[in-house]
Amino acid sequence: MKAIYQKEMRQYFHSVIGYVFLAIFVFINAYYFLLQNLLNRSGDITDYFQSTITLMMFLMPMLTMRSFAEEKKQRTDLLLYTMPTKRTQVVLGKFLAAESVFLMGLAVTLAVPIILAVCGSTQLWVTLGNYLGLILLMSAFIAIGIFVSALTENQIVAAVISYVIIFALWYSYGLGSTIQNQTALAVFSKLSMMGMYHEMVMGILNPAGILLDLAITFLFLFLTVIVVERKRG
Amino acid sequence: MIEATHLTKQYGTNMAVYDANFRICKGEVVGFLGPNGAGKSTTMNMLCGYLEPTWGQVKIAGTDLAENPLEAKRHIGYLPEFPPLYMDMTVEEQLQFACALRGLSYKKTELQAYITSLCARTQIQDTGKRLIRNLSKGYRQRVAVTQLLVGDPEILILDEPTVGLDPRQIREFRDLFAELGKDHTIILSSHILSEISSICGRVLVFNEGELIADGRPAQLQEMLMGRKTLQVEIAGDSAGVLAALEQIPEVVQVKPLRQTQTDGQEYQIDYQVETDIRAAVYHAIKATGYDLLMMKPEEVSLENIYLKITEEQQERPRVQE
Repeated sequence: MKAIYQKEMRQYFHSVIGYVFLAIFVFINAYYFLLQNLLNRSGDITDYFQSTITLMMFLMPMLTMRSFAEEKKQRTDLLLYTMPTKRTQVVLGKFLAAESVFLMGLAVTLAVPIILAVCGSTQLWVTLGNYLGLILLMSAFIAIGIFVSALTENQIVAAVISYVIIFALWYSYGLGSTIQNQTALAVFSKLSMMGMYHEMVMGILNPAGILLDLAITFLFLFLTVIVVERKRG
Repeated sequence: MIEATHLTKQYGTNMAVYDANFRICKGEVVGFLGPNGAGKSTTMNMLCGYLEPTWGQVKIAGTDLAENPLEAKRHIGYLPEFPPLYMDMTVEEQLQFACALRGLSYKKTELQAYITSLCARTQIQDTGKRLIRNLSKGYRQRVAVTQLLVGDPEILILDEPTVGLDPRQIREFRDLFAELGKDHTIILSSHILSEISSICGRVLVFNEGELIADGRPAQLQEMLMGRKTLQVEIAGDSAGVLAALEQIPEVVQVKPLRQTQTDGQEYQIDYQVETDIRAAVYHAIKATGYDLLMMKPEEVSLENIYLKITEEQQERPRVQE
């Protein structure tokens, strides 16, 4: 797994994709911070994170789209699968590498709560809730992106399908509210990542929200392993 | 070393490989021969654990590939038709990655020394810092072969390793494989028949997904062609020579070939397998009073085998998927 992780990290930063991802992440987040907090004289970090999530929904599939698709296109998957390495380790190595690149960008945003704390006031639990919620949510997005990437050898197709799945999961809350049936509404509400996230960013530590994100992450990583194993069949 | 039992791979209704059974012993150099789509690459992919057989079993050094793939794969180095190299890596990085995948636990300086020694074997010492994308086809193939040697696997599986190389590079690679064959078990598939006949002591012939023949090139020639061939040069009346030769019971057919500058004429004598008619030919010609100037068995030609297989395939066209 370490070998795959190191290879992935090297590839993110040998190509422009790692730098472009981090540049867009940092630049647009700084812009949101300027707009929503500094110019508005607001100390509310939740609004800032809300904008960050919208950005990440677009940005994350760009990070994961090449993961398996490029291996298949270049036929380098043959190397990975004929060496004495478990395919589960290949999937986890790729997942952790994408997660690391995201965390690098997120680390830069730590400046935001520090500035807010120094210049005004910030609520510790709300800030932690926002960070925890964002990390869990992005882990799920990364798992979804890697899974879709394992299905195709076309990066663009991988990105587009990832957007569809991510948007469907995110907005299932909205979809549920349009349905009159109470049972369906309850199911959609429970499945909505957005609903659970909103609770977390308000400082409410709802185990259901954490479990939902973790379940989606594990489910898609598990599905990726199945897809990768099926390549043998 | 390698044991394939009832190896079968089915894609939908298409049988890519059907019931292949063979055993390859330690130190053997075996060639896979057959036209495109015959099942050579699919068989190789199953032997190295990339594809799982629909039925059948592969054992590598006594280990069942399906039950313990990691242990079995430690013994195998696979070079597919398209070398699995990362274009955005340098040669050193690629080889370091291969070492890490093989789980080689060297210290940094030891690893560097190990990679240098591997590169020296394939003569790519001067390319370590270059990006693979910037290397020529020949050098990329060398890097792929170097990668194959990482961890020193006993079995090397090479799928058409010289495709796209120039004649000089092909010769260099052939020499390299011949050298590797001294201390490795090698399976090699190729369209270049001279390559197989010069390196491989044994040939497995695939056609339409089936393993149709297995043996030394000479044996296969006899088996597939159904007859042996002798070439003779005789000075004498053509009609008399033909009459004398056709009297030999084992002779199937005599074909007059070209006139030679030494007043002789060449003839091709096809005769039954598992017989030797050289003495009979000598005595038959001696009895006529003509001069026997030359006699030689036709050289084993994999080309003939290959052509025969492909001709049969053309006669029975496969349904396109």
